[in-house]
Amino acid sequence: MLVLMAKVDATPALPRESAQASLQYIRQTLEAAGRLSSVSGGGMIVLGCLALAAVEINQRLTAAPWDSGAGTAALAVWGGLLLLSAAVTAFAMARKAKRTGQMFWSPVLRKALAIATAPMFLGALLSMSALRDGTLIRLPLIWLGCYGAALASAGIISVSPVRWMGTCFMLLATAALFVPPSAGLALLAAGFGGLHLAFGSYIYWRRDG
Amino acid sequence: MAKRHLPPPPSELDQLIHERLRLGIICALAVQESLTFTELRDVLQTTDGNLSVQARRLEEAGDVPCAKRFRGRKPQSSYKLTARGRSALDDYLQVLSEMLPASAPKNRATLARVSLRPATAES
Repeated sequence: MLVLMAKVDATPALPRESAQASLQYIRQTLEAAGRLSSVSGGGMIVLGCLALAAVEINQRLTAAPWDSGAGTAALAVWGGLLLLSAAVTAFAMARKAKRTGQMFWSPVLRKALAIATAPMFLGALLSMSALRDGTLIRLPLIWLGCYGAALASAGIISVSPVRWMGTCFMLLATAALFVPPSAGLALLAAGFGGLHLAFGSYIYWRRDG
Repeated sequence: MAKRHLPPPPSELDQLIHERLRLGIICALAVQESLTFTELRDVLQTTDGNLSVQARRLEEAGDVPCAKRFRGRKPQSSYKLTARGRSALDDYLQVLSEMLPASAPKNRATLARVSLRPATAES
């Protein structure tokens, strides 16, 4: 009886079942391969350095936006950083895509940008609202939270470190609720500086730059 | 008459592609123009050794050539699907589709997604 059972177990799968299993595997592979992999670790490292420079400028020259007498000048530092960061990211991703033989302006990149747009737009709205109400001490929470949400959402179709980095940004945003406003710049330095440097280095060394 | 309704025997499937990891390599390269060794390993969640062995089989068959270069001091391998590999995949999918219920839209969509991509130039 045991021998008979062993023989039954050893019977190869029916072609249709095998085909169904192959199709299931093809689906999983397509889903995994369709991820955005041209995220540049080198670009992130540059972003981290730029963010630390912005914090230093805020600390020494203009003071943080919420402490500064000239809030517009202090905010301009971060506005400049945003524009510079966008340019650096685009350049670094295009370079990595070219190096690895991938298309830069790919459907998956467009999809990731579309996903990230909503939280970033919300961040801009909340920042304008804080500026109008004079509650600028909320800016670290808004910026870290919305940027983190954008990364965590877009990270669903990208490599896993992007998702993790987004989650870490949101944790820092949560921390901003419980620390005094004077720690705001330190949180921005830890997030936009430290997290970009840490995850950028990981991606650079472990995921082909 | 009854024979007409039987599914085709498994031998009709290209056994080079039918192996799980090799099928994964070819499908991943069918939707991404080019992937590095590390990217392929992450997509297919396999080990360096397994991927290396199976990719070499496809390379020897002329389906997936490997381009090696240095990034700094680190060697980097990248893979592309040749027109021959694309054709082999299309043939494989054709046989596969005949084995599956044609009425299932999910099946048709998956097969179409792989086979409708343009072929890369033969290297």
